[in-house]
Amino acid sequence: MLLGGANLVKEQFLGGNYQYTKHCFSYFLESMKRLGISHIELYGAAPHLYLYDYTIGRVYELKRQIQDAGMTVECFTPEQCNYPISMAIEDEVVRERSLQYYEKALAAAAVLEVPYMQMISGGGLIGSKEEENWKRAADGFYRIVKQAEKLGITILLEADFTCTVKNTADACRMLKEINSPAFSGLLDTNTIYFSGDDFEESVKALGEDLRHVHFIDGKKPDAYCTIPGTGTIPLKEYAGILDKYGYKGRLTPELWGWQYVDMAEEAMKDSFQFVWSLCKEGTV
Amino acid sequence: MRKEQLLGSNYHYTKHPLSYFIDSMKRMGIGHIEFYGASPHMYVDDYTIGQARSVKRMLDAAGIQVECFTSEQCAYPISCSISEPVMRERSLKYYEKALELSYAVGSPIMQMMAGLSLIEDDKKEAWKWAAEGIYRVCKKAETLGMTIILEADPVCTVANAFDIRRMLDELQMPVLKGMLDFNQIYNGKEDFEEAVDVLKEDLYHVHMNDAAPDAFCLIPGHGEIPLMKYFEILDKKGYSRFVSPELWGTRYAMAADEAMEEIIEYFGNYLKEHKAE
Repeated sequence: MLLGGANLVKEQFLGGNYQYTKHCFSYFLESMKRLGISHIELYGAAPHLYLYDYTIGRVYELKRQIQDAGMTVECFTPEQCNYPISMAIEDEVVRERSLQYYEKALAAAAVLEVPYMQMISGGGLIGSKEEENWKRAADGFYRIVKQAEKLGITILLEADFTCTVKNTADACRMLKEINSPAFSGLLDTNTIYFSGDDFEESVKALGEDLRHVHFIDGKKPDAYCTIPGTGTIPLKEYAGILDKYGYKGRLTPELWGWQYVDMAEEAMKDSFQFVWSLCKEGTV
Repeated sequence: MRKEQLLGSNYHYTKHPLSYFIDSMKRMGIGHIEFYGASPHMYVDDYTIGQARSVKRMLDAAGIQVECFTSEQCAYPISCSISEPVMRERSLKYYEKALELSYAVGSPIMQMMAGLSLIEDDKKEAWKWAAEGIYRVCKKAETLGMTIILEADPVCTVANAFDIRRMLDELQMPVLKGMLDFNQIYNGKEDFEEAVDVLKEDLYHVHMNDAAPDAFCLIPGHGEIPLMKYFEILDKKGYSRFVSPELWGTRYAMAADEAMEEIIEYFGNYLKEHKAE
């Protein structure tokens, strides 16, 4: 069995503001500095960057704040689970609003000069035809990806077991259908675990298209996005697999949700303690 | 309590179209509901008044009356007590629109919360913003002849029954009332009877749900809240308004009807056991 990730380097791991949503953004930046983290995944949600509240001018302001703190944003991920966002849903009003939300997110990503923006397909309702949901999702991705091409941003498709694109096989199929250099994939260890996918098979299936990893723990039946090392997902083994295939992209402990909002920095610290222990000595 | 005091609700029907929920209520013989305003049923920002009226027609045709309208305000970023002025103003506009939608679907009552403040925020300021926000929404409710019920939550500026009491006393508005949520009592480690006593005749609505240390908004009987005891307290105090099962979240989204049926049975059992008294 492969254990650890002797070739992963500490710089590959990103900080994230996912669990900092009860703090103001400047607190998050200070916290990253305290923890010695300078590369982040930016989670676009209230109160930090809720897209409906932000003008492009305000995004520039945020960018300056980030730059002044010496941070680099490596991936932008607008909230799309808690907020009612879906490109696959039948309801045209919800769908069109969702697409406009992603367009605004892309504009923000361009201002922030982020190389990657993450997206999920969203899902349809019970009783809707899966084929139709798929078609709507594909049309939506096409529209966003076409804009991303012009901006030099790559859209990263994340599968989620509650969505139309629900596992790695679906993600590969969607990438093939859209077939754009501005459209790649990411793996989320929670998706792998809860959808019953095999991690190594998923890494192999995505191949060169694997550009980003959400590296989080979890526990059945319903503990999601927990601090690495606190759940039952074999993360050490996964790190070994990433090594084996020479993964050079970034990984984020995506501590999404409310469970850590009152101990945000501690949760980030514990996460990094675990993930850095998997890395090659002497990095950072 | 009486059978009619139990409301149906669409909290856990968000993976179904609204028409499915309405059919389910009809099938279960439920004629009164709490309407949860969230996507895909009635996300406040997506719906026009005209669309809300068409929903009212669907409900009328099914013989269903909306007794309380509750727009989503936890998962969506809504707070009238946060220091961020853009978010606060958007939240207030959201409530004002929600009020118009409530009116259009024929609900006499709309529920709202104070929302949360950031850890760095001044708590006195947060309270002031909450009071100003609630006042503004209540002023609009007055013109529509509607009632606003304030729900507390331990994570919010109005955190418990005492805070509700304080807000009611401060604002002194006849259109503003209070409510209790079993999960709020549980999470805030409040005493239910004391909370009922604190609100007295201002107790206008009850959310009944169970909870466990690692799970909230559960089907009654699935957690560790003594619901039967709470019902007895409500009975003892002569509570005659509605109790509404708030199965918020996605836990029961794939088994929505089963969850609702279990609630009806649970409440029915309470009534059976207490019939003779």
